[in-house]
Amino acid sequence: MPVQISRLVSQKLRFYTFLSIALLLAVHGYNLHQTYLQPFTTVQEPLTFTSFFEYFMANGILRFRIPLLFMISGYIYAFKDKEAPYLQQVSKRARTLLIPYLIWSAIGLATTYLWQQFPVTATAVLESKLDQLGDNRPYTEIGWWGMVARWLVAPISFQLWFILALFLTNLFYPGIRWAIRFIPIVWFALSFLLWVFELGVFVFDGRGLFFFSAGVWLQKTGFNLEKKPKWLSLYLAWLLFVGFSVIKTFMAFELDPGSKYTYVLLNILHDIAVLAGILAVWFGADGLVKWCMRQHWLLWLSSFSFFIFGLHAPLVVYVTRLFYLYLHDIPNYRLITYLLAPATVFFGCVALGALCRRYVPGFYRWATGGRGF
Amino acid sequence: MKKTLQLVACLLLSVTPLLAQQGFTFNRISTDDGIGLASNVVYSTYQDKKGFIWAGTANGLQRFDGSKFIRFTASNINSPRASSLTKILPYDSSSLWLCFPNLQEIGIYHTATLRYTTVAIKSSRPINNLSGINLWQDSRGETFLFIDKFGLLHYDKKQHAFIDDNYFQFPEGWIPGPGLFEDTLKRQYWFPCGNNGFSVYDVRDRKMYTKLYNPKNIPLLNRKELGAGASEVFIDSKRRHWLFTWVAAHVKYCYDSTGKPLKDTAGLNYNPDYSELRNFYETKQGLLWMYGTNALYNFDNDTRSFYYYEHEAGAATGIQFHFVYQVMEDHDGSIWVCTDNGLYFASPGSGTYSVVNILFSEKKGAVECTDIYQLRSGQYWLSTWGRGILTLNRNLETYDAGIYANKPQGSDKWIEYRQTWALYQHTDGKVWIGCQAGNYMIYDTATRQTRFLTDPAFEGATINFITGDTKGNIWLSSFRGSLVKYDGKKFTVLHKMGSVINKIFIDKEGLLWVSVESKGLYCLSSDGTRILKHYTAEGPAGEKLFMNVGKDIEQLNDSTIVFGAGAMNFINKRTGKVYWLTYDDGLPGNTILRMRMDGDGYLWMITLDGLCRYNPSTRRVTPYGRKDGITLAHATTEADFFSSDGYMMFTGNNALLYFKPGIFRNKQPRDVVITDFKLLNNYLSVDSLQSLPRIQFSSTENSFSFYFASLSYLDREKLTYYYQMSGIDKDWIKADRQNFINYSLLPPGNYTFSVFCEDIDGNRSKNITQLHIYIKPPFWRTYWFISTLFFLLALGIYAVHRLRVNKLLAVEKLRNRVARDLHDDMGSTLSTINILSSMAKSRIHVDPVKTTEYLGKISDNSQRMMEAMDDIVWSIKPSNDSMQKIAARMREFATNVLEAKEIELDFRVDEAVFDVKLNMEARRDFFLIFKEAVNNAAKYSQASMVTVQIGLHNNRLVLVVEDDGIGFDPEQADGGNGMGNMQKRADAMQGRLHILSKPGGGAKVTVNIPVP
Repeated sequence: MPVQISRLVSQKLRFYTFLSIALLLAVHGYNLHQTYLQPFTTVQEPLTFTSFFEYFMANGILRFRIPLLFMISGYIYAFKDKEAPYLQQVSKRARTLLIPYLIWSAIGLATTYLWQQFPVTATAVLESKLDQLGDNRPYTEIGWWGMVARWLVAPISFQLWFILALFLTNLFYPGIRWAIRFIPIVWFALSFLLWVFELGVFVFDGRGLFFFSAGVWLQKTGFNLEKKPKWLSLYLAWLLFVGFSVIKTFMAFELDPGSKYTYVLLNILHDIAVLAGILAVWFGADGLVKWCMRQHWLLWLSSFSFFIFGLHAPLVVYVTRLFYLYLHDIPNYRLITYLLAPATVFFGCVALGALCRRYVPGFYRWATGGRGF
Repeated sequence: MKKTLQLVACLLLSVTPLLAQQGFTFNRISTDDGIGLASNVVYSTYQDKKGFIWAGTANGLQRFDGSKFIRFTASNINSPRASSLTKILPYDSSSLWLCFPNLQEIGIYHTATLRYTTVAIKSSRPINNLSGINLWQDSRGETFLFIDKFGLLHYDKKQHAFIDDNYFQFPEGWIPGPGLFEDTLKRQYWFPCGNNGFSVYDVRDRKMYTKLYNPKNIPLLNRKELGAGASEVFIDSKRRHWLFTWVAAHVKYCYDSTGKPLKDTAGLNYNPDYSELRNFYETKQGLLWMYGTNALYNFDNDTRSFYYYEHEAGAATGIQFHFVYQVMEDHDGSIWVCTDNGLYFASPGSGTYSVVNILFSEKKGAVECTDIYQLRSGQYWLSTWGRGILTLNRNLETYDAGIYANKPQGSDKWIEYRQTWALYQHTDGKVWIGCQAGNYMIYDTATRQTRFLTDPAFEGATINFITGDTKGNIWLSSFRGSLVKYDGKKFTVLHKMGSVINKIFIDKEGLLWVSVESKGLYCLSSDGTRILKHYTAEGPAGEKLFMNVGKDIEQLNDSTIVFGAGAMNFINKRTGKVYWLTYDDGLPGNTILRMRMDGDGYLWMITLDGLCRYNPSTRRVTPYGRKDGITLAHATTEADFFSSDGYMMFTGNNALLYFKPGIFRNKQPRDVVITDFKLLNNYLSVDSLQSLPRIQFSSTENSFSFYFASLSYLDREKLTYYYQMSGIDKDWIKADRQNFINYSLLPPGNYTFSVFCEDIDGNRSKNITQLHIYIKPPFWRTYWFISTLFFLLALGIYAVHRLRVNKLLAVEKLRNRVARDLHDDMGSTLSTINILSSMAKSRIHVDPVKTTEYLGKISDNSQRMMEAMDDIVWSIKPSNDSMQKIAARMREFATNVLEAKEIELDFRVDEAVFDVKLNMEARRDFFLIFKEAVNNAAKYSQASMVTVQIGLHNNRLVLVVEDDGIGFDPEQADGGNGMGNMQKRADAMQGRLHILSKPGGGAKVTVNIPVP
């Protein structure tokens, strides 16, 4: 077991964390008719370059992000699990995860409320139909209990499920660690099934458990994350990753939407593409990682990863709708929106993050759990 | 207004019988129309949320989309049967209750899945007769089954059956009749219970009240006349309680909510035939209908009496029946009437309050109206030929103006002054009346005196038109074509046109426009002296009239005069240019007779083909006919007027038509509904298809048809449909009248069929109706399949690459092995030979014995080298890959070695071994282990017998070399190269080597290797 994370692995951890979060905007900027994407989601609209591109990106090639983030989290958590007693660690995670959860959930509500005050932006909010409880009325009509529910349980900043899921895996870390150590096959089989079938109970989301556990296992076994394993063919990994993502995208347009075969097929392709994608991206882009991590501007940007994560949604969806309102008369407005809206929100988040870090560092520290300083 | 017109009619009735039409104007739909109505006996209708009219006929269920009826009965068990369907009610948004008394069956029909299920009837009490059943539904959607002489059963959704739960808690012996009513305001249910009288169920206290139990003191329950024979009950929106009884006769009562009798039953008992008034219906606008056998009435709120619809052939309202089964109002406000003589509908505009068609007499030509005029005091005067002037007040009630109070002298004059042609009220208040034979009357409204006059300027010709200008001049024309000006002092004949002057029109600029029969249109200076322009059909290009016979003139705007000469002739006053709007442009006919602008800037016209309206902003013409309630337009061709009350009035031969133009104000057309969808000649349920986000068909299901309609039965003939199939049609296509479009043999792909409608004025339906269709390509043309092929190709390339790399690696490995073997086996031996030969060479002359010894060793070494070389060559040679060859070489080797030692050999090989394939290295290792074992036996065992066995056990190749020699202790045996090499070779093959021996006990070497 390595005492210290090597420089390259450390660079990779930071780079892929930032990359996964930055690409989250491209996923949440998806603007086809049905915006809630699951691995087996089919598309009920014509296959065009725009629709293909958006689905390929959002529900194909970029789907490795969250599993990779869970793996990175598991790896880092396992690396530091001896630093402090369990309760102290939980307390720290509450400070770095739960409090940001509440802050960003409140910011999402406030953003939405603000947008609801002006006719044009209110239209954008309404058309987004983003409310997780299904009630898209203005917040002035929803009442205090409705607001509390949206703050604590069903945040309008829907991406915060990840933080909650991460906190829970951290909370149950001793159990996970024990299972990996003593019943690894059973545990990995179980968590793999949770991921494959996307199972979860209430706020406990089973989708990340497998990858979090894998991260822990990699760290505890001292798996060499620097060098490509001999058994791994990068060619095959990239081929499966990109190839299956392409095939799956076409299938999502062309297979029968209600068929169980479609469901099974898309799920299988999705899962293989994700696994292959993680391997391909992690081991197949060392040159890119090294180059990027030599760039100061990228290092600076990557320090805002958590801020971008917390702020980008629901903003990116509202901005997308706003783009629609103004651009819908021009050709290819959906593609233009898909390219521009996430980029706009990304740079907006970075700018706001930089301002906050500079002028209200206390808030920034609480909101990001101390990340990015 | 209707009342007043009745009075007008009464006045005329003194000389001619009145046939004034004041009810709705009905249009009949029957089996003769060829649009699919299954039977003229239509019992029931229901309009669903989409707008389809469902009809229950004597031959079952049908759906009407405005252009055709679709049958929903079939022989299969999932469809309702073709029997008398007396009631259709909504079950939910996509299902209907159906009641078939003849089949004694109640069912639920799902309109999307076309599935029909019957509903059980469960009662602990015996039901004698199920044929007298009917359905009834309250405002909360609770459904009840009424059974004649039995009572009510309540539908229980859990049991999917009608059950006898005494939902309304009727007292013992009280059996409700069918004419029940729910009072949603008071949350009460009223039931006629035959000879027991009426009963009232109060939802709030869940109690039933009767004349015997009335602690609430419901007033009507205490009335003695209602105590028996209760047959029908209804409470209208004005809270009038209509309660009918039938003891000896059918008696109709009307009360207010306090129980005070009202006299609103006027006209209700007027029916020359036997009738049964059983049902009530009130429209959203509060129009009350009552109907039944030989009976159809609607209540006139103005006269507070009922209008009786004659039901025999020839009825002016257009409806003929013996039984009226149901009256229903659709979403547009049109009234639908189910009868035993077809299905009728009437537009809301054709009702009493909107459009009035008055036929003065059934005798043709009895009342020839020649002009109509509204005095500034509001009275309406109608000039007639032969009957003088009809004078009506603002409310169209007749009044005696005393026009003929002082009769003119002479019988001829008396007649001529009653042959009136033109009306005009001067700014001084006096009314000028043009009469026959050059006579005219001037009526002073102040003194109520009439002067009967004649002037030679008219040369005894009829004064057929009078008008005035803003300067106070009066302009008159005669049948002989004289244009006469009266300046307050004298008549001056300004022009003799030579033909009848049909109209003198003074435009806003003061110019005179004179229409002269057969001579076109003249434009005169405001003083009438100069002819500024003469428009004829023979005029220069761009200034030609459609024809020279013109009837009417109007001013459209400051610069445009419209001349009704056949078609509409638009004359630009500034440029003098003329353009037409004709039949080809949408005019009902090139026969314009009357034109009049209304207050909203629309031009209303009477043609021989009926009434129409011109919209100047869209330049489109909208015709109005019977469906709009206009039935007498063809007879009102002589005069027109737009009153200060906003009425557009036309009159003529025996008829008067008037209406408020606002009722025809354009509404946005309803969205188009795709009524039917046919795939390869099979109808598919549109509801089911539309519930899908996208309709998918296989590549062979590529021919289909769309039927569409705007489910507005009122406007549908004024609508034009435009459709487009994206992917096929580049632009919107105007649909023909069949509202049907077919697409055949479409290639695979995405299609969106879009359709919208537009009324004549260009108003579009709010939404474009769309149906998304995806024709799946055959799988080999799908992108996923093609991309999978690319994927497999890439995988194949990778596999080929890997094979190539593996092959190169194998060759490299082989070369290394050969080099190593040559080096190991040949190199050292050759070195030894080299040394020995050098030593032999140096001693050849000195020490022949030693030299001989050296030569012997050289010979031995070269012999071993040859053998080793032979082994290497043998193992490399591909032809030796088979186990037969290996076994043969092993046998040959063992025989040669053991024979030299006179040791007997027993060599056995299982047949199964011959199927085993060993690679080159394994083959060589296997052989060399064998060789070492046999050599050891030959050299050291002193055995007499060596047994070699090669077999295949559990997918492992097993070699056993066993001797009966002196044996040895394996643990004491030196670790010489022989045994060590054997072990290494066994390991290289991932095999196991066992050496079993003991001193005096022989030796057994076993090699066990896995077979690939």
